[in-house]
Amino acid sequence: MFQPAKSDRSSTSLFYPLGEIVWGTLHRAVPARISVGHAFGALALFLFALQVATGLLLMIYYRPSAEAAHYSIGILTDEVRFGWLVRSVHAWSSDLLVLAAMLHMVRIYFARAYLAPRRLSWATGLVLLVVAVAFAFSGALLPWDQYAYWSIDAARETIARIPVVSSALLNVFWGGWDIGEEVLLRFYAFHVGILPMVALACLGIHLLTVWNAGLQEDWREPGDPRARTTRPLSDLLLDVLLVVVIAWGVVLSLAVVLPPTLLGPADPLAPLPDVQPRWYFLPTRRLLRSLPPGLAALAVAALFVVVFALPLVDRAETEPAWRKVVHRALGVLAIAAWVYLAARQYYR
Amino acid sequence: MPRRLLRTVILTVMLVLALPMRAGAEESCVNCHPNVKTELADSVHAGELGCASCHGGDPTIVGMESHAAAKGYVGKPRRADIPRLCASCHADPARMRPFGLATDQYAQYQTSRHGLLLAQGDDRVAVCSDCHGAHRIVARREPTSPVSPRNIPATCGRCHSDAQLMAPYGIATDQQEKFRDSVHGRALFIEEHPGAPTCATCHGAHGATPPQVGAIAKVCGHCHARIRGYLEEGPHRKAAEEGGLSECVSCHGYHDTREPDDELFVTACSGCHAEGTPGAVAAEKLRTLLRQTRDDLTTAREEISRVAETSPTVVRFRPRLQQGWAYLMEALPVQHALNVNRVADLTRGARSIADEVRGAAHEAEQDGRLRYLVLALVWVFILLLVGVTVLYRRERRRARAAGEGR
Repeated sequence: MFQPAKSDRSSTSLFYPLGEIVWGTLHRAVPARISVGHAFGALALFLFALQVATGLLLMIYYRPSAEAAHYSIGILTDEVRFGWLVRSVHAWSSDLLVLAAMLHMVRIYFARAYLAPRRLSWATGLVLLVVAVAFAFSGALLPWDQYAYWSIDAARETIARIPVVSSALLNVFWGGWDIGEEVLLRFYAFHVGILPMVALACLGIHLLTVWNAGLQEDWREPGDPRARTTRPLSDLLLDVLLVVVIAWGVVLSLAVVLPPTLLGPADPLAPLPDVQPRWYFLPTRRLLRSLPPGLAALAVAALFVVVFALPLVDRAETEPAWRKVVHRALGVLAIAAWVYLAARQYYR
Repeated sequence: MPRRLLRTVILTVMLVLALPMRAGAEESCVNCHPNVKTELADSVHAGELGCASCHGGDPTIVGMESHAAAKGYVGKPRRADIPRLCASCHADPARMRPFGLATDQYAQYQTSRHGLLLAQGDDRVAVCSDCHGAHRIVARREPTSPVSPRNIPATCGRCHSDAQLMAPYGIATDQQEKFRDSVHGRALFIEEHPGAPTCATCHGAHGATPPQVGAIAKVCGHCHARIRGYLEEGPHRKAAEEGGLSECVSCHGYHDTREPDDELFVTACSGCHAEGTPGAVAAEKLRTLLRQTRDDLTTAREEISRVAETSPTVVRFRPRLQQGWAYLMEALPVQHALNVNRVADLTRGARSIADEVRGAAHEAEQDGRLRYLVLALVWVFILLLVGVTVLYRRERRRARAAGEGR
């Protein structure tokens, strides 16, 4: 069993107790064996940091107005040194962040890591996933090119089908039923003002609760001698470093090889036919467009509530074999339905 | 009571007798000519004119009495009378005003080759009904009208492609065929260009006549106004005024006018200017300047398309290149003034833009290559870092295991 070493630094040190805290943190005991799936959380955190860094750089050049937005992105891409790379990394890491957050959630579900004392982690994690999607969605409009405009218009059409709340939703997020500078400014305000604050608050709680509960060990058969072995956190951080460095390579490669396009400036008189939503919205679009609008909206809302309240529904410490089967089957079924709906929408 | 009954009977009998007469007023021509009724119903004249308006007679009478000469019956109008007959309404401003139609067709017709020959008693020439139809006259804007732009060549060709009919006049009969394959014919039939010329654009419609030598530049200049202006600045104007040069058609031909290209300098100019003469030298200079410019601009356009596959933002140079094409488009009409220096100035501008864009495309291509090179270097660094970290991790684990073992 790993025992953390004690720091022999004096309490009279100039940086006391900073050194002690860092020392204690690096030597905190964590499970020696955890699954590869644990990497998704760290990956999402890294991608979020990348988003913040590249997003701040983009803010220097971006001009949030219908006249100047497209032009400023064009200048950023063509004239500013490495501007294309910053924009490309921002765009790719936003997609990958949503993907990493989704896979992180899938792992948590199958590992039942949402049980007490991790309930708050689950709730804040879910909010963070929604925030990540909202970040990506609002960011996609900001270049104000033809794709941005017409994909947002398609989303507007989808939302307009929802009875009762459509007007309120469109008034709050779109600034009305038409698409103009109002929606650009609203999305910009969400993207750089409201969502970052929500994200930072949730992320803080999420990390604190994770830190408090500790990493969950891989599930082992009772009596497995490896079940309770531990190692220092610094060891785990080395693993995280490996994951982050490789992820950075992947993001950079995607950004260089497949930079995001910039179509012509948004033109309300030249519709782009058959605009697909971003990949993470494919199933929702299919659902909202194939079921009666009210029913579909209720289904999506109900699904969200059920997922959110999962730690309250499933609370047994140990579960019998049949419940294990049902639990896993539900998870697989949900993923299959998601993929099926996405494929139906994509190849419609 | 008997008087009332008698009155009722008399009124009923009068009504019954009047019915066929009323019916006869509308239907008597149709009784024998039902097809004409159908054709007339589709015509722009439906509801405005009846049979008697053109053919005379009394349509209220059922039977051949309606055709009596005393009733003004003229039957099928003589070909020679048709223009005057149509003009009786169409030259009347008061009658045409509600329809917004011009009233000068008859006046124009009388000045046309068709009208002049008709006045001389030749009734084989085209009259109104030959082009517009007789009973079923459709507005020009309708695609089925024989005088809608796309149908005009075929309508004129009905007579002008008839070798037997044209033989007495000594007119060729291949115009329709030549026109179809010409640059104008392609614009009309294939590109469906709304401004594409038809026979009537150059020859006139009602006043159709072949343009005279001195008038050709003016006729072509209706559409090619700038070229006409430059042509009049140049030395060819004098040749045209002296009657030796048939202006535009001397080089570009007519009816079968094809897309002008570099070869035209060889085929057209050499017909008048012998090799080594100042005219031939100027032609060769113009040809070289224009060909080189077009080649340079085309190469630059291809370079952008090629480089855009790897560096998409290079398409931002397309508007700049378009300015180069604009210089060439300016030089093309200017060449008709045969001022080599002016053309050289314009083509120089175009070629310098082409060079600039090609340079930018090459730079973008180099930049793209550099990006991949740097990416490869980054990956080398990443793999090195991964290797070192893995080794360090293993070392730490080993040291810890040794520590725990003690």
